[in-house]
Amino acid sequence: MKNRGISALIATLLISVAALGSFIGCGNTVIENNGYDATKANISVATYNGGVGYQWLEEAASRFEEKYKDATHFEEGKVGVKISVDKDKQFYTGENLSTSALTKDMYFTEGVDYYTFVNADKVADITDVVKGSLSTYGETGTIEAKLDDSFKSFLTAKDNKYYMLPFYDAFYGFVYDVDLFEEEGFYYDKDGDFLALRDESQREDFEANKANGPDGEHGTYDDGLPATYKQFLDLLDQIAAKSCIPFCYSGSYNDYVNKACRAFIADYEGYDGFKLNYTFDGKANLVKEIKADGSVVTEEVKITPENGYELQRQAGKYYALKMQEEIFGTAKYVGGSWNGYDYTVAQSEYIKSKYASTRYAMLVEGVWWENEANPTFAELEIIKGEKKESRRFGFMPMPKLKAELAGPQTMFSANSSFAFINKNCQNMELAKEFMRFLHTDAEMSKFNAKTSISRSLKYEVKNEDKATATHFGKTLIDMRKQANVVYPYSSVKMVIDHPEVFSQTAWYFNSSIDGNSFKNPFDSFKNRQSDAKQYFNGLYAYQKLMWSNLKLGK
Amino acid sequence: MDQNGKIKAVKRPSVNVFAIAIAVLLVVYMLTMCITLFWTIMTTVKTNAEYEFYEEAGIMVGNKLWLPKTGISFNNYGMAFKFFYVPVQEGMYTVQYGIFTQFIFSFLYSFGCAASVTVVSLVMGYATARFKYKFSNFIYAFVLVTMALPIVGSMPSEIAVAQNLGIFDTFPGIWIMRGSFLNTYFLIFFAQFKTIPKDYTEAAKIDGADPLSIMLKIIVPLAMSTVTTVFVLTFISFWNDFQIPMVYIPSYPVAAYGMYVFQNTPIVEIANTPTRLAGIFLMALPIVIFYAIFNKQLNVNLSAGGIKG
Amino acid sequence: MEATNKKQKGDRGDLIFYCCLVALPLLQVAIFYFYVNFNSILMAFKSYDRLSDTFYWDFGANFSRFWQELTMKSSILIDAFKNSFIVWLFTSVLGTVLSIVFSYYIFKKWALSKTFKFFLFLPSVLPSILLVIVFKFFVNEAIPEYISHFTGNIITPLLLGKDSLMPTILFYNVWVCFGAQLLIYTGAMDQIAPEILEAGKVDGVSCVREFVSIVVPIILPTVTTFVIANVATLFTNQANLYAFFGDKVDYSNYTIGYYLFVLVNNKVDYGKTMYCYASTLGIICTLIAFPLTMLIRRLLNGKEED
Repeated sequence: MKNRGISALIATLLISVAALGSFIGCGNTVIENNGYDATKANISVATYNGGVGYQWLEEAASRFEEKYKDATHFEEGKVGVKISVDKDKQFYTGENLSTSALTKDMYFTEGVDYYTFVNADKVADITDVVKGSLSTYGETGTIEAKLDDSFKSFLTAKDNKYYMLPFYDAFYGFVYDVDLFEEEGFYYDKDGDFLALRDESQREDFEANKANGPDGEHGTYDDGLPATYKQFLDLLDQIAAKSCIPFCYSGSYNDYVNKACRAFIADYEGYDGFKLNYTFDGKANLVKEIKADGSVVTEEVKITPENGYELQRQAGKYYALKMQEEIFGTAKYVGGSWNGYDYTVAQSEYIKSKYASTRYAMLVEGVWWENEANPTFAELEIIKGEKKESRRFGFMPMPKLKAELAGPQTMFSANSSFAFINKNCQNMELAKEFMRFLHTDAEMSKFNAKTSISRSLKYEVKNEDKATATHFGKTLIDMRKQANVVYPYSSVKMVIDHPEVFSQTAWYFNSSIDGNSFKNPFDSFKNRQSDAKQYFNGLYAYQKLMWSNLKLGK
Repeated sequence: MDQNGKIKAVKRPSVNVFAIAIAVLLVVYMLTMCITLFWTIMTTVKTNAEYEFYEEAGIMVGNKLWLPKTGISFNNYGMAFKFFYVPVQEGMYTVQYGIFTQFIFSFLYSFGCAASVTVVSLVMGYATARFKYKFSNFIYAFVLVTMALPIVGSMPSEIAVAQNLGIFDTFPGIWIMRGSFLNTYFLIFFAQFKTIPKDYTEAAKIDGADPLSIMLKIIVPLAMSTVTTVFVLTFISFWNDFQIPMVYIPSYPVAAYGMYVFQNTPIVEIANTPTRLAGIFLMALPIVIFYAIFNKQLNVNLSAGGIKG
Repeated sequence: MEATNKKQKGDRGDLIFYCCLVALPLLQVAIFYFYVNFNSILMAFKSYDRLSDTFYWDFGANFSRFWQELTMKSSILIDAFKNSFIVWLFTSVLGTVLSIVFSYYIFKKWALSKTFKFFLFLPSVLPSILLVIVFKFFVNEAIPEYISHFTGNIITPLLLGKDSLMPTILFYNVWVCFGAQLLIYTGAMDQIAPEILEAGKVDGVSCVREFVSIVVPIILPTVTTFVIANVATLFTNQANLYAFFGDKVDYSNYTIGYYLFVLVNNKVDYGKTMYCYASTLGIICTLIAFPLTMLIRRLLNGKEED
């Protein structure tokens, strides 16, 4: 009886699978030629089809193919080149690639731990590309000259060779709905009152009346936006007073809120001050005392790796936490209750709130959100006939502590994305040429306009390219042009060896309060476990404890 | 005899507080499970337009919680079926493996691994429980240690070993690699074989039966229900596992991996909750059907197997 | 004389047979456990240099770090040990007790027992990714919305509220834990000779008595196996935290298993840099879990093992 049961079970399984197999054979399995062209020199390029999509790469590839359509030097007997873009496989994340074999010739991806790849001997040495001339493309400099110092020192720290180039800038912050801001009057005028656009015919006056914004200059991208912390908070009250909800955010990924508020630190400290968090070499202005009225007394301290934890007393860190507590310490600016949204749900709720009972004014997100939200835009186009391009969004610049501090932004790019060539590339010369091509100013400008997101190198976006960007992209391009950008990299050995201390989250959010460890200010404020001042003091306490574990070796 | 005993138990007429108390717990449990399943199935037959964008009196509220209001659609399943592909690179070509092929790979992977785990655990459980050598105690303790000891970052060396042995990315290779007794099933077999009295084998031994036939003809048949159960449990867990096949048999994408790819794909047509849930359901369906059919079978096996007394 | 000879022959036959049985599985373990993991275990006594990609001997470093993390004022480890224990209490103790009680119900074939069995086993059949997605949606979005719809009260999503997070996670872990145990326990109960139960019935023993005094003692060896396995994995259980939250779990909710998982699997931030510390932590936890397992085994099995 029992044996019959098992035999029946196994037999049925085998028969069903055999039947399935013979019915369809390898039925729905399809063999695709990856665009391989036997008459041309070929390489395959893969990109992580996430926040920047893949369309930019297809377009760049066809421009490259066009430029080299008569080239014969890439492979003997072949005329022209063929770049096959892999857009099907969405799993080219750095994390997946670090544990599997590289099957493509070249990658543009995110979530890359540079030294994991370099040490695994998977990626090609591209020093010649980075240091070589770009004169073929009419440029006088090199790619290396377009790199920030932090990248130069980090990428070459092992053996003075370059194996990758940085891909795109990852800024977190607040997205605002331009249409809503104009309609409801969420802009500031020169007198500090709120200003609305009543009628399209009055646009000229409207623009002329806007306040200067945080950069202190009129006629720039940030006109009318809140210039100071106070104005920012007043704006939130105004939004709530107009029956809108100031912020949509993702409750399930609420570290986005922390990361958005981290932008306050970078902007307050400025390029030199914020960069100390990676170089540990220079003078810092640190909080000596926080007075009862909230004002801060600072002192100047020389920072070295030995006393690096002192940087947790940077005033910017206090102000950022204070602002975060003011804005997200209670649910009053997020609609009165905490949500449990996934980030895609948050994006969708934000966009479609235009048609819901209450409208969200801002979204806490990263700059890649527009591309991720494509499914929602597509659905709205079907249901409401409203195209993605017709919605106008902007990226909110960080306000300043005081109006006197007006000036350009300092932005923190939480960069982890890189471009690299497979060490076993089938046509190294072609791959390197394509790498060079993609890092010309012209191509990076096109990338930026197409994706709204900047490459993590120095270049300017051309006006004709900018004209093709979304409204959101345009505000970002303007902001980035004016801004200083700090990248989380350096060649300080302590930083490279201890990501558990210096990672983009641990360093800014780990805090020790009354014997308890915290890593998420959002949760800590929400759960009433601490206030901004306690959390701030805890940053210092935590890292001071950690310091004895570090190997400070140079 | 056995059956009679049970029928009597069923017919017990008195009101049984103990039974009612458990039943209440079970009903609550069943309800939570039913609601969850019902919501999932309900969502898979809603269009995303309704799920996210349903309008009531001109206001977009979505309909995530209630029954479909704009009709039932099986389109999500169609879309999930259409996009349930895993691409595998083969030189300059990409092979797009569809769901049927993925099922075949899944079956080969799960059946082979489940069989090897079951057999190896059975053999080791038998050896350590029935033969009182010191080494047996050592093995038992060793299994417990390995279960308690988390191993860190050994994947690269495991891949390297498999490649050197020439078994990387092959089905027999993964069957061998998974065929380990360092698991709970070993402990189960051990416990089971330990409880079988010595008398069972002594008689056979006196009759001159060799150790192999004692094992295969006397003891293992007594444990057949456990064998089936262990096989089914491991089969299911291998069926639902995507991480191991993703790394060790990259050329043979299993359906669970297909589901993982499907879950994360940014393709606009399927990047929505109803279609994604339909995709998971599609992958789970064969095993749910398999379970529904063999639910009774498993029951019979368990009741019929084992030692009485 | 002849009998002794035969017995010796039998013993040698047994030994050869025994060796044949264990040879292949041991070879497999030798290659795919010992050989593969040897370096991982040695890592506990090493440190990692990222730029040269080398692990160098550094005997005390990881252990002193462990000691420091354990004793310093701000301790993740203390919370993690505590949470591991709580999770163990729920999934192992409560989960096992419920499994036995439910198994008894099914064994007795009381009303709807087949249906109950189907549902209790279902979570083991469904891919955990489906259960996690649906469960997460329910507790984070649906339940708050239903509550506000029917009562007008607004609550924080259960997996995000400070006081509701851990109970919700514990509920989930118990919710999905019955499958395997149920099959094994009902199987074990079916092996109880009907005469024993009959005898009890003739004596007028109540169901509770039958359950406590007859059924449980008989299936105890089977239960013991599960309890032992559960104790052994006390510190490797990550309570599905990663499936729900990725690496975003707040320190106060860490379990040791989750902590280890994050240290090793956060490839983007950590690479290999935390392998050494994780390996040390693993060995220390094994040094606690293993004696504990043996102790509990001895307690549960009584003198039977001796």
